[in-house]
Amino acid sequence: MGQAQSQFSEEELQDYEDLTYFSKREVLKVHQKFKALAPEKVGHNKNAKLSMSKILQYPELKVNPFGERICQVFSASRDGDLTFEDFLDMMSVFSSYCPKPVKAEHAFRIFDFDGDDMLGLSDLRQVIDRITGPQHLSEQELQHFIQNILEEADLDDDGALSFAEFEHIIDRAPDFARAFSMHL
Amino acid sequence: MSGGDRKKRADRGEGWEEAGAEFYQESYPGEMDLDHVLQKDPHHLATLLPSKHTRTTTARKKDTKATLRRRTSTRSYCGTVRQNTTGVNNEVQVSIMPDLSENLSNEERTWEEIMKLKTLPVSMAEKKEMKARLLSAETFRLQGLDQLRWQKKKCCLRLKFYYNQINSFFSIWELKLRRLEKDCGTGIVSFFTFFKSLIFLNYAMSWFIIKLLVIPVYFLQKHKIEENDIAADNDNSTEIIDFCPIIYQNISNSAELNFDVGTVFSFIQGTGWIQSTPLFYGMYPAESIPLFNTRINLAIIYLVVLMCYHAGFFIDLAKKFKKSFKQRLLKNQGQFYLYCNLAFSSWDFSIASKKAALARHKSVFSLVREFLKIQRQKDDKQHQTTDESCKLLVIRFTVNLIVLLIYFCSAAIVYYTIQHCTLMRDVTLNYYQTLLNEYLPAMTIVTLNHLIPLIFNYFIKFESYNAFCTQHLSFIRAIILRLLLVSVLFFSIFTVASCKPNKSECVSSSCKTPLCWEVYFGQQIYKLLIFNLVVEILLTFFINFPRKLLASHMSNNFAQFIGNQTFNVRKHILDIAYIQMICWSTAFYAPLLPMLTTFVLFITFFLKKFACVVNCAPSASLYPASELQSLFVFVLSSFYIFSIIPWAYSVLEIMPSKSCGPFRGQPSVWLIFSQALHDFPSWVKMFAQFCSSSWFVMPIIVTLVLLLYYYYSVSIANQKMVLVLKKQLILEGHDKQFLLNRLSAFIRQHQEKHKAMARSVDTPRIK
Repeated sequence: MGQAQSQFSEEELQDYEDLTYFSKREVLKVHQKFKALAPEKVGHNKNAKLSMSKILQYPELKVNPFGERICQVFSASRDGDLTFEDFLDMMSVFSSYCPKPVKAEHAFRIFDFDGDDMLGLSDLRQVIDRITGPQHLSEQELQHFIQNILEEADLDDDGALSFAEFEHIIDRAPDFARAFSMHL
Repeated sequence: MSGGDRKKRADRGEGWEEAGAEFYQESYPGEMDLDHVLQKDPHHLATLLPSKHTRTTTARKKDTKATLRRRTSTRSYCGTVRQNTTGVNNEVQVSIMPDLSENLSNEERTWEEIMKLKTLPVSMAEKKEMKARLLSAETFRLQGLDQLRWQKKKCCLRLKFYYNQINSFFSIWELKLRRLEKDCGTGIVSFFTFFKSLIFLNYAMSWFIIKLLVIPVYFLQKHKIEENDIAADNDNSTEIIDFCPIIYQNISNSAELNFDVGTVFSFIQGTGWIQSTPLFYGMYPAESIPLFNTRINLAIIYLVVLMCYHAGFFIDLAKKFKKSFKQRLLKNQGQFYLYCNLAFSSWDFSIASKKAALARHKSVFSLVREFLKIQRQKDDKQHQTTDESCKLLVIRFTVNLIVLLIYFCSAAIVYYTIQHCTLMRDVTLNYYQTLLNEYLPAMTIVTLNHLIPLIFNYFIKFESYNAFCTQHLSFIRAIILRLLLVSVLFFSIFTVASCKPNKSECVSSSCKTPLCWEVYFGQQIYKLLIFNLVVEILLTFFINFPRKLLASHMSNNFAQFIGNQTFNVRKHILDIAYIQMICWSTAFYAPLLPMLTTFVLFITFFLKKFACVVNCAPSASLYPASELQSLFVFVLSSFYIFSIIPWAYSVLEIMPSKSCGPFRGQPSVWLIFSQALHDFPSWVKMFAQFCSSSWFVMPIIVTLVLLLYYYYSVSIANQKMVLVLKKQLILEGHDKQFLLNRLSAFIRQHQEKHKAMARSVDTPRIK
């Protein structure tokens, strides 16, 4: 840890502690994890930008069906490449101290594949496709499922879930905060 | 964000700031924006709606500052609207930044703003910049009391933060459980966390008993022996009651602790020397202890301590029940988003192994299909012919009959085993035969507990319920079986114990009541507890582990069929609650049993973990954490209520044995309470009498009933309101869409008219 410590100044760490849900100790731990993804690159430059494929080596993201999407959402340059600060942002959102509304905000962005700020039919289709993984629901089942989702939560009947509707769902989902977490 | 950008933004933003920087202003674009967007594309009208507007930007390109709707209500942020004229998508973008012009903020406010920055969905660089701006802005220093208050608040928050950190760092097994989370997901881990908290509670409660009861009694005994026991010998009373304890003591003393095979056997059986340890009720004397100038009867202390033990669990369970009850209510009121939950929170982001991920995909897939199938079946039910439904009804009825028959048979088996063992006790047997004889009832109960559910699972297939009903039904049947068998045990003990002895004998000889039935009761449960543990160990290491080895080393179908096992959490919850239940039911007659139970639960924890990590493949079925916890709470609380029944019955109705324990010579345990009431000052007596009188109880009951009715009607009214509002929302949505369509059509028309006019103006000129 000694080396990692020397890479950050005290002010930087204080900034990170104020702006994320981590303590200084945990920030250093996150950095270690980040460094483990590409030791030589990060060793040179603590805030190096790692490509999406490198980031996806992180065990939780590797098996996560939304891995690429997560990278895109948290990447400051929007291309999926993450700097350490982006990575720290991501881990902060996924930490267990992060409150549910903040998690919901990011979850919405992750699930909103086409970026139109609504979870439309195509978004829902993608989400379902990704969580069922290698098995695929038949077209009819998929339609049925989406229809059920919209029936439950689409309050204004416009065929898509807005953020307010999504927030409402999350409010009623007892397991969401726990499921939407990655531990250090 | 480049400097130029900011400048532009500031320029455009000025107008708003002057106007007073209110939330809604950010949402309504200037007319120029409107015209611009409409000219480009009338269909884009929807994006200009206030509700959409605040969020359009969150997912946008890099120069966008995001807004959160909940944040817009705080005044210190001011929205500035600007138009991205250079971008390809001409969209209105909203940015939000700390409003520096309005910065009347003091230290406290600045600090709060900084703390809030972390909730913003923007990149770290932007957050840093915001923070720097907030810090560099001029702030008022807080003075006097305010300063003190702020410092205190800051300090408290800090302390809380560090407390959380330290807590999570030091909590036992936390790290190991975290590691488990990567392989099994949060559901299973929540099961283990709950289990862990149960162990801790047991540990705390058993220490409570030890400190307040066992240790004082131990010193009392020692003290008494050191003094002298001549006084007791001089007592020339001829009543039989005084001889009974002596007989019992002689029997207990004859079984002295000498280290040979017999000692071990008596330890396993809970007989002999272990009877005279504080583990069992028999050892506690009927004395009074000097305490603050008065003498308090030990029996009272005994009763109060053990009632506190039960009350402790009651409070804990009530707390947990309240939490899970809320969820259940939501689910039952139909306000639970089943499919949405499945879509958005069924993926565990903490899963980190390929195998677990595949299992999770598979389980989500099968769950979705199962839900859809159930829904289809519900729709089909109306079309079902009467023939089919009759056939199904007959099958289900038959299966239920079979289940009842099995219940009856297993209860009979347990009953006759116990009878047989009681008879065999009079025959002289060698060590091993005695051991077998003593353990036969426990063996029968535990074996049946594990075997009969397998039979039930075989039969339940014929009933053709859906997967969830099948799970629930088999679980409930297993619960009933366990309760039934253990109540047969209680029943046979109580029939023996409730025989009233003649005046001239210590115990009823016609019923063959043991000299101290309380100890006998404790022993039976002690044996059940131990044998249950033994079976758990055997099952985990000698049956399921070899099965796992078989499955992993041989690939033929048979081996896979035999060896593949999944972690059936419901069964494990039942196992744990069962241990807890038998402890609760007997804690009164064996004050050290809670400690023993803590130990047993501790070992069980590792057995279950071994079963989960080594024996079982990643679970194919999805267990949401909240559901598991509420299931655990439900089983525990029903078992708690069940365990209170034998305890309350024996305390209230059965006469304590004459020869042992603190209640010897009393007609019933409860009477000692009313006797003790005599010694209390008169106002206490008055109060107690008042509390138990109908003048006090009736109004309270009536008030409670009225309250219940009131809340019930409020909830009904609310439910209706929710429905009405939902309908209204849908109507509003329709209205909105309708208006938007009309508006865009109108604008298009307008534009076309313009064009046509322009053309008509142009054409004559050409001509």
